[in-house]
Amino acid sequence: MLQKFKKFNIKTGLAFKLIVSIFSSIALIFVVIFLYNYNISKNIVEKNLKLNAENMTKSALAQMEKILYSIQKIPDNYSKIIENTNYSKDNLVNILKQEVELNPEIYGAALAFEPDFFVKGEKYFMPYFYRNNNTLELKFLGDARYDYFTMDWYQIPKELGRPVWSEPYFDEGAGNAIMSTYSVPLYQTVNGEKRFIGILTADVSLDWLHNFINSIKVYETGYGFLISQNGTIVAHPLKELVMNETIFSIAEEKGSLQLREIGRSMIKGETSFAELEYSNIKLGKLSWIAYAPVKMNGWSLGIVFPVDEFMADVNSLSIGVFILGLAGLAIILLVIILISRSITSPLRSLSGASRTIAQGNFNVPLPEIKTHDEMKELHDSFDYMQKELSQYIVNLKETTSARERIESELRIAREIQLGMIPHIFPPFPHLKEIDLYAMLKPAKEVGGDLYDFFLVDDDRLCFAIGDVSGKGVPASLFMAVTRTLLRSVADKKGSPASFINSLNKSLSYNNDSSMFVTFFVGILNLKTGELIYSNAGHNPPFIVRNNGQVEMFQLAKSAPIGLFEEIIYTESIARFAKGDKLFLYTDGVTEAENESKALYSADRLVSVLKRDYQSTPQEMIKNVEKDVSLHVNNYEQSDDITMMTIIFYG
Amino acid sequence: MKYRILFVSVVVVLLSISLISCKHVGFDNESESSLPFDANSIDTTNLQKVRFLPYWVTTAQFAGYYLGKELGFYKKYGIDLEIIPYQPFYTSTDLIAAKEADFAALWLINAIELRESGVDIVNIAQFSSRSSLMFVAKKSSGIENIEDMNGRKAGTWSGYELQPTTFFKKFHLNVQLIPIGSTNNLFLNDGVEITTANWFDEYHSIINSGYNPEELTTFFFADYGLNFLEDGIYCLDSLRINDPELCKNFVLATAESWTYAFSHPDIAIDIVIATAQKSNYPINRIHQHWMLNRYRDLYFSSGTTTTLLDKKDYMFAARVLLESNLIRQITPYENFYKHYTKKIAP
Repeated sequence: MLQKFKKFNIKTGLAFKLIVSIFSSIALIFVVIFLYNYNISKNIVEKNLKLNAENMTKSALAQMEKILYSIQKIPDNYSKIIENTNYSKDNLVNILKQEVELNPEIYGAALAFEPDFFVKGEKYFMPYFYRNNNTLELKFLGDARYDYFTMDWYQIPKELGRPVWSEPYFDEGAGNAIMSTYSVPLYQTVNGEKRFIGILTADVSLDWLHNFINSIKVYETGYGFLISQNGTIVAHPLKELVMNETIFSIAEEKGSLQLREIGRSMIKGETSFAELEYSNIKLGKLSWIAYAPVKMNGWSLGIVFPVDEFMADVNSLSIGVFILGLAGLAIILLVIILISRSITSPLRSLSGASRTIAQGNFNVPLPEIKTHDEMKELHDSFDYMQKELSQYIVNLKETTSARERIESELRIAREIQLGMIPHIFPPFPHLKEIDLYAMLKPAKEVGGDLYDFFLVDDDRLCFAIGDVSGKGVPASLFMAVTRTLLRSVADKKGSPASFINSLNKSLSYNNDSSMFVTFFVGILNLKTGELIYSNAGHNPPFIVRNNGQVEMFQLAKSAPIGLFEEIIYTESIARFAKGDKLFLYTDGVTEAENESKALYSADRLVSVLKRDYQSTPQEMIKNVEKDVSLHVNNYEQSDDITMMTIIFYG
Repeated sequence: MKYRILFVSVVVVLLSISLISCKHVGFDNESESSLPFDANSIDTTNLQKVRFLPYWVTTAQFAGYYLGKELGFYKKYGIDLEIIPYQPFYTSTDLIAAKEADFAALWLINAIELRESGVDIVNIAQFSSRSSLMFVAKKSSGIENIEDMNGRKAGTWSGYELQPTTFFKKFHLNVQLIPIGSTNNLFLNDGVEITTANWFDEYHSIINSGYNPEELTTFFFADYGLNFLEDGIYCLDSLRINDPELCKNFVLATAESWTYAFSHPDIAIDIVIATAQKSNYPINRIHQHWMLNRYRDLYFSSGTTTTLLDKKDYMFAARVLLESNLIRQITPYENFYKHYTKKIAP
């Protein structure tokens, strides 16, 4: 997965980065603007709602209170009439009848007196007028089973000394209507003392109230409700709650302490305009509630504003803004994709072209850039690079073919050079007196070292080793000349010194390049072991004695061949015992360098010779070669390496 | 109000020396899978018609009776139960119509007084073991202790003044008794500072009129040495003598019904509400739940699990009545209580 992503990331890198960075920044800005807009609109709506809630509640209350006030004024006025009348039963009954007859909003009215008010021993006197199918009926109530003195409508105003609206109640007689009774306490002043004498009531159907509350429509499902002083639901869109439940029993059933607190605040006569959020009783919707008390009876009107509905405008505005925002973001996304493509697609083509170029196809056409921007500059640079590269490769090809030709010629030259020196070992299998081994390892294709050996006659072996100054082709040519000259000057009569003197004369003559060669020539008498030799500035060879002693030829300093024509070289004699070896070498051996420029050194060479004094010439040379390469440790060979070993068996 | 209604019921019991007719009654038993018996296997051919008189409207305080009737507990014991609907205002014709009550639920002191008045009733099962009657006062009126009640007004129900007056006498309090009706409104309107309440009913109504328990001071009579037992089952002694089997079966069926009602409150409340709604009483479920739960507490208050009327409880109530001159003599315990002991497991 990560790999896949990485792959994707690499492939779509620039475009992806552009899209992510630009798009997410714009999206973030959009979100911030959206939230700001939402909050501001929400605050405006909420502020308006609070005002609206207050107006609505107050206006509904004003209407209700107006009606209640007009109703309670009737018994209030009649109570004054009664208190100022002569208290004859007939008179009182007539006044009571009038109260109901003249006021259609009053369903029934009662006058109830304290015990013994009219006649001692008469406990109850309670005329009651009520409507029954458009006729007024009169009943006298009050007996052991209807002991009105303990009834709320009588007792509460009596105890409180003021008119009271009763808690709502069902009255089957009044057509199962919800009723409330307004009771006014009556007083008589006897001898300056105010005395309670009874109660005047007016029974009022609350159907109008029910309809009024239900006519309160707030948005879609908002509603109004009314609770009595005890919290009893008097009017509510859910009919089954009316009179059966109190706001507190509902709160208990729902386990809502908040609803209980709202109820407590309501029955305490407190007001609140859309400051509380709760889940409403009707649908359980999150709502705001406004409430205020009905002054007449201590009931409380509540109006419920479902949040989702009053926020509907804000929400639809927000949805609109959101959709526009999304559309805008989509367009921006498209534009970013197009722009990033216009950047990346020529980049991609250029990248493809450069890959093709890298594969050697320099004539691949570059993508066409129509714009005159940085992309065009990049394209032109690419075009220039392509042309330059193409030219360079043409040149390179020519150079390379020339070099290859030279290398091939050098290879041939090397073969010729190596072919010039004897390279078949053992060279003289028929001679029991000696054995001989030699090697030449040029530092470059061709080298300036040489060795040679040949029999001057049946008893004498001539051998030579040399090192031409410089390296490479000039040195190799000089070496070839030297070797060819040696062969031509070496005859049976000559001696090593005469050979060298002849060579010196020939090579010094017209030697404009001032090249020279160090040279050692020796002739070994196979019968006697006598060695006559001459040295022209070459490293002195070593004699490895048959007992393991290693001796260096003690030679006087002498100049190499080819520099000074007039120099006369001399010769010396050495003797070989049976088993003695002669080890000749060029300075390529002792001066072989390793990485830290440390030389192989003559001392180390001597120690190998001492160690291997009993080995054959071939073994000896291979061992030295091995030891040298151990020292050099793959470092580039800087000089030709040449060695020759002759053993004298006698 | 309650007192008066109680006496109406007393009259009903008094007049119900009536014959116990054995009628052939068809019945439509709704089978209940969780019932402790198979309702369908009951022999319904020889059910004995029995009328029971509750002392109040249909509420959960009679849940056991309504549930037993509805779910067939009484039928299981061969009883076809009719529960006489409570009527707020009895007229003389009503009284005659209600002649045929066989069993009634009564509070102990009311039953003792009834017995004193010459009605030969006996207690055949005592369910309540703790008085639910209490005083409730608002802390806001300054009443937090017994002595704070001195000089105040207390609302009491007529016929139920014995415990309040005994209480005030016991603690030497001068309190004005105001007879009140069946609502709490005078108390809620601050017309009285103290009101009498049943724990299972009025107390909860006060709570559900917006007063929090911590805002109220309560005095349970039972906690002040005035534990007058309440609901028991009563019948005329003649019925007990003539048909002891019926009495036993009625007690057993009632005990089983209550046990089932307490363990299946939702079923019990559903039945009570359905019954009440037929009579159009305001009723609310949460209040009925409270009532049933408190009834469980009252029935099993001291770990009691039998229908035994403890002699001590009887003698205590009778002695208080005697001292208050409400009765002239104490009926011997053995004559008053004829037990059909039945365990009522909680």
